[in-house]
Amino acid sequence: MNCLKRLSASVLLLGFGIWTYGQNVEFHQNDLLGTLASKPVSIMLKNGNTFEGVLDSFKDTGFSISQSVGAEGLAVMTFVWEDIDEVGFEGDGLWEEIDVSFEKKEWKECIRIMRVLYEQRAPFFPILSETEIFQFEKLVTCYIEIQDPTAAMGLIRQLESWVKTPEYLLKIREHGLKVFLLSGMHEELVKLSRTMIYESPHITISSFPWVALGFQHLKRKRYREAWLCAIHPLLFDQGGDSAHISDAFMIAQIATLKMKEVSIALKYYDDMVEASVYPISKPYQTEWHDWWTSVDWRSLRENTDEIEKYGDIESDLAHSTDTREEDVPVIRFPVLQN
Amino acid sequence: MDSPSLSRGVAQPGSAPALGAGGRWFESSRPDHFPSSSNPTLSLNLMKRTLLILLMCSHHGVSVSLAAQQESMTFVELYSMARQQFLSENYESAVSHFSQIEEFFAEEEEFQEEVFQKPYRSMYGMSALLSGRNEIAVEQLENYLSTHYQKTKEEALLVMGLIWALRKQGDSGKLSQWYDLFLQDYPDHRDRYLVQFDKMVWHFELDQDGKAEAEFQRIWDSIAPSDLRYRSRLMVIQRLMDQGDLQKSSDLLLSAHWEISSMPELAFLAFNSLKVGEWLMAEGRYEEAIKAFSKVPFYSVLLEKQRSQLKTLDMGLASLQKDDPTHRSIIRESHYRTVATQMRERLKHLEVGSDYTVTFLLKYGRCFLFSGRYAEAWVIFRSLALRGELDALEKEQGWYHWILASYGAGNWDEARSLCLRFGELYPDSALLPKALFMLARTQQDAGDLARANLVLSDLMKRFPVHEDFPKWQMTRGFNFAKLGESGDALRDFEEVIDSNSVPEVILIRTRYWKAVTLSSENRFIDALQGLESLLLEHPTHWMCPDFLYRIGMIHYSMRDYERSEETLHRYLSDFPEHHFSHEAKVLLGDVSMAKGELDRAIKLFAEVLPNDPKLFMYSQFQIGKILKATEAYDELERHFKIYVDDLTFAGKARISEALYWIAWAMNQQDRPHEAIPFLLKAVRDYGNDPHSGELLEILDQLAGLKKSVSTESFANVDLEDERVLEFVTSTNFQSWIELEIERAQQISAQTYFARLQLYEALQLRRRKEYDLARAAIQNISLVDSMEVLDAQLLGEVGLALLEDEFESGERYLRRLLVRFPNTPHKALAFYGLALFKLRQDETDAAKKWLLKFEKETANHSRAADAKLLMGEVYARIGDFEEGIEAYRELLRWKQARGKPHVDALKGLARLHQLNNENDKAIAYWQRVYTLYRAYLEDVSEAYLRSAELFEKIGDFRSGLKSYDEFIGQKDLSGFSDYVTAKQKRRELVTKHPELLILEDEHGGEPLKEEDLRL
Repeated sequence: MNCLKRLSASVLLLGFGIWTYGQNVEFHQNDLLGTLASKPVSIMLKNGNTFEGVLDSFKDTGFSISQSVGAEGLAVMTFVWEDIDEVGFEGDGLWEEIDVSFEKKEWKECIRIMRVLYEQRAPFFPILSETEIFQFEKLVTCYIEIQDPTAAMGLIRQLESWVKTPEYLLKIREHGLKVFLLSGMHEELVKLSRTMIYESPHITISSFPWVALGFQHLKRKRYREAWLCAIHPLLFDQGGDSAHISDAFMIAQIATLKMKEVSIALKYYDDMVEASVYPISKPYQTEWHDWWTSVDWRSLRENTDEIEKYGDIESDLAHSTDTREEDVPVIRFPVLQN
Repeated sequence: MDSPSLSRGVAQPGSAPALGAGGRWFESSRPDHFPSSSNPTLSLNLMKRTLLILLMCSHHGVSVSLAAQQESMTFVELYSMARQQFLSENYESAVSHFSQIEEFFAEEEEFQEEVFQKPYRSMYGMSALLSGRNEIAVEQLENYLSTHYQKTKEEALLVMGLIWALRKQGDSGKLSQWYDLFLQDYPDHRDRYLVQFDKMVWHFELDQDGKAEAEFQRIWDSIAPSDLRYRSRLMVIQRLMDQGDLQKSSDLLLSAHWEISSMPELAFLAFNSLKVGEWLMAEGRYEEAIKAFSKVPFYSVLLEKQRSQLKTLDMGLASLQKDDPTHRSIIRESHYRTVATQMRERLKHLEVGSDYTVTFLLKYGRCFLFSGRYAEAWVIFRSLALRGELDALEKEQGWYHWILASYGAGNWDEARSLCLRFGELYPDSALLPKALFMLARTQQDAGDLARANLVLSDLMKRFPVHEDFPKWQMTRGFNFAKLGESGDALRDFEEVIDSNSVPEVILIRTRYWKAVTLSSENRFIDALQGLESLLLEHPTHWMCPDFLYRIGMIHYSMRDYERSEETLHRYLSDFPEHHFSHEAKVLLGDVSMAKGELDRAIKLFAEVLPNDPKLFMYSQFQIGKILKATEAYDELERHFKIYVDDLTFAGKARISEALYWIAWAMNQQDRPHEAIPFLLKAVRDYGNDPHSGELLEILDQLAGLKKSVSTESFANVDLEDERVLEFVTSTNFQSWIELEIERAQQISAQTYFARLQLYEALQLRRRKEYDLARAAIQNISLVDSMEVLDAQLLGEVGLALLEDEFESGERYLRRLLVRFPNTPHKALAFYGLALFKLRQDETDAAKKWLLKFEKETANHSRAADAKLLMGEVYARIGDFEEGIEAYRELLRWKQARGKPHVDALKGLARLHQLNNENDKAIAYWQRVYTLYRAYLEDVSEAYLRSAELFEKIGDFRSGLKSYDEFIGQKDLSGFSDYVTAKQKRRELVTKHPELLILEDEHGGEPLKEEDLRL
């Protein structure tokens, strides 16, 4: 396993964005051009000795750094991972810049900076803390925001092989679902959603798998299934991420409108307004958000016949069918044995 | 104050630059200003940290004169020690020293001086407060504040200290004034809302609920921190609940938007919400109960959150203590300490309590169920039903309610399959009979009465002594009656009536339905007897109006108009709002009509309002009938003109019929020259408008007039209108139609053109020239755009194209559904799309379209076709039981007699054959050739198939007999099956020559040589 991790790290150096879903490997030559990657790193060994040098090479057992000696000389020192206590990098101050750009939604600028940091640090993932590695979760967000699912998925694959903390892993998997939504990978989305739902102790941990399934069903015109999935966060996710709740409201409204259940759709709309959560457009649900914003709720309330504008003529065909567990998983609420 | 160069610092109100939250820096060179503090830095730090000390030091520093110090060293020393103890947080010792000062030096002049009194009293009071000597604290602080109080930020703490001491002491008498003083003088103090909250609690402690609630309202309306606002609200809710005022507590709970994530006392909120929710549920206020329940988390989630919140609070408290060694935040700290204690207490209760999740979810789910929010109920109950870890009883409850949710949502198929699985999983469940009865109701609601009765029969067989048995039997009888199977219905009703211990509610309803069924069988006397005895025995029963109305109806059917009228009048006067009142008024009109009181009848019919469109139209046409019968043609014409022109009646139909009567009335008044132009004008006005309907019917009227009105009747009329002239002079209606088609093409009136084409096609269909009809319809698809086609045209064109396997037909049908979602012609789309999907082997989709047909357009003329297709779909899926039921249902339709019945029999035969029930299949084929001789091609097929099946099951003799019977009918010789039969017979007798001998022995006629020839 360790060996695998390290190999992943070596792949990373060649360029992230590697995606194992039959897609072409994306090679970002520019990634190697960051200046930080060529700056020396400081190494503190467990025995207290310290060294400084530029990364020369690395493999699954350790790495080498080089140091200039004299005018043209070069000393190369090799270390094994187990001997390393700490590694120090330049450029920590860049995280503040990243935070500012992230706040301003300057995704490309964030990517530009973070990629340099990533290249500098990725080889050292075997000895970095999960918190340090998880910082690059922001980079995944940026890729999703610029709708680059390939790069996002490549990075997700790398991060999830290093991160084991449940909260971090959950966040990374949520990103995975967004990427599947972006790229229309139905089978993978259903599989990951179900895994997340069934592995999670309860829905309040994350209701996003339900939301993702809901969007996926909308896409496949399985409105009843979309509606039923959306209901789960609305019923059980108290105090969870309001973005997920607003998306769940939006899915429930769209599904019921498509099914021409006008009074139910209006009820969800009213509940949403009462809860003061409003959906905002996100790359993985833009088309649905656009559709939702086109609904004239006031007019629909005054004249419910307008439902014909929004309804799908085949919507109620699904009414008479059984709901499959794979389409709408069974929520596992926690029950303690007293 | 003299020299700024000196280094010792003390603070003094009203001097020097501000220091933090109200402190001020003052520099002095006088050593007596800070006698006990040798380290100015420490003093500075202290001053920065504690305003209280600054205040006291400053008072001291400026007041004690050097002379006094020299003369009263012991006094100064003692004071210095007391002060030192105070600063070192040795409050008990400080109290002791301060009390000694008073004991020994109270008479001293310096002691009496205000400049001494102020720091002395304040330090003494606070030391007493912090060492728990509340009585002294109250005395000292009150003394200080009543004498020296100034409205400064520093003194706010002393007021809070006094409030605190009074609260500890339980002295309520003076509290109010100090609360008010604090709240009035320090509206911006950081602890203002804590004090206000404390005041609310204090009022509650004194049972001054009104005042407490007023205080709560002030907090709620303020900008107080949200946790404090919500906590105060929760406290009021709790108080109201303790007092049993659940209404008010639920109002308070539901009218706030609770921020669950920032709630400091989630358990408190959860328990209150649970209690309020249960109460609202018991009150039948399900939507509100849902809102309350939505604030209740799962038990384990609540435990986890409560623990985590407590941990956060404990950490906050620790940090508060650390950052506030001088207890400036005494009130704050005390407040949160109380909160923490309460939370710990609740957590303890939670931990030892049992997991409420399942019982809560059952209640939550039921609220959704009862408020008609079936999807939410479905999610909750499904999760309970399929939750492995729950005990059987809980899962059983989940299952049962899951069925209810599915049933409520109208998912008949799912409800049915859930019911069946429930029966398998919980065969001994006390809920099973209920579930099965619901299954029957599911079928009933889906309009499938026959299948509902199968379930009911099974239910009655499985639970013959169940208390609900009479109800099941009554329901089955009712279904039989609706199906027109009156014999079975009456048998069920009579058995219920004759059985013992039938609940009265069931008995009365059964007797009523028995009477209604008898009446439908024209057994009026028996029906009347039944209803009259019901009325006599139960004069106050809620069904009395129904009894009366039915009695009135039966009298009418028996032509006893007087009694009918009398009964209906009684019914209308006693129960004017009853659901049959509109029908009764119409019936009264019919009674008057039957009695020959035509004016009265017209008056009664005219009173029927359009809010019941069906009865209104019936009444309007009854008026027309009377006017026609009385030969009041001018009135008839006027009456229907008003009907046609009335734009306020939205649900109006039968327009072409009204137009017909107008034209007919004109004709009767010797004005055929007006009637025809009138209809032609309607054609001209509406013919090319895709949104107007009934043009085909108007054409039918014109066709009738063309036949009945001679050209001569127009002899004396000056026909200025060229189109009327054309109509009158055309040789027949068909040639006029052709002219119109040509004209429509010339002027590009595409809708009109398409309609005329369709009219022609329908005529061809009537003449059974189906291929030509289809071709004519397909011609319509040549119009420029689908948009010019009306609903019927889209449907007919789409279907005709699909029937000839042109896939483009699908587009027409889908367009029909989009453009005309409410038209009855959408039946054509449902049927056509089902056909299309079946051809593509998408049986599931085909089934769905057909179910939609049944649900929305069950009475369309294509209903029999749809049912036959449904049988075929089931056959493809391999669901023989459903397929057989579909065909059987069609056989029960009287309106489908003839060819559809033949096809249903053929379908049944094929299904049984597929299911290896060859004997049954043979029986159905035999029914085809014995009952439907007119359908020669089908008869041929039926003979051949039955013969083949006889062969298959080894009954060669019967097979041979069937072949012979078939071959013996020369009128069938033109069909290919006839030739095949001959061939097969030859093979059979070649294989089994003994059959021929046996045939002879049995007296069969020997076959001739030519019969054996192909």
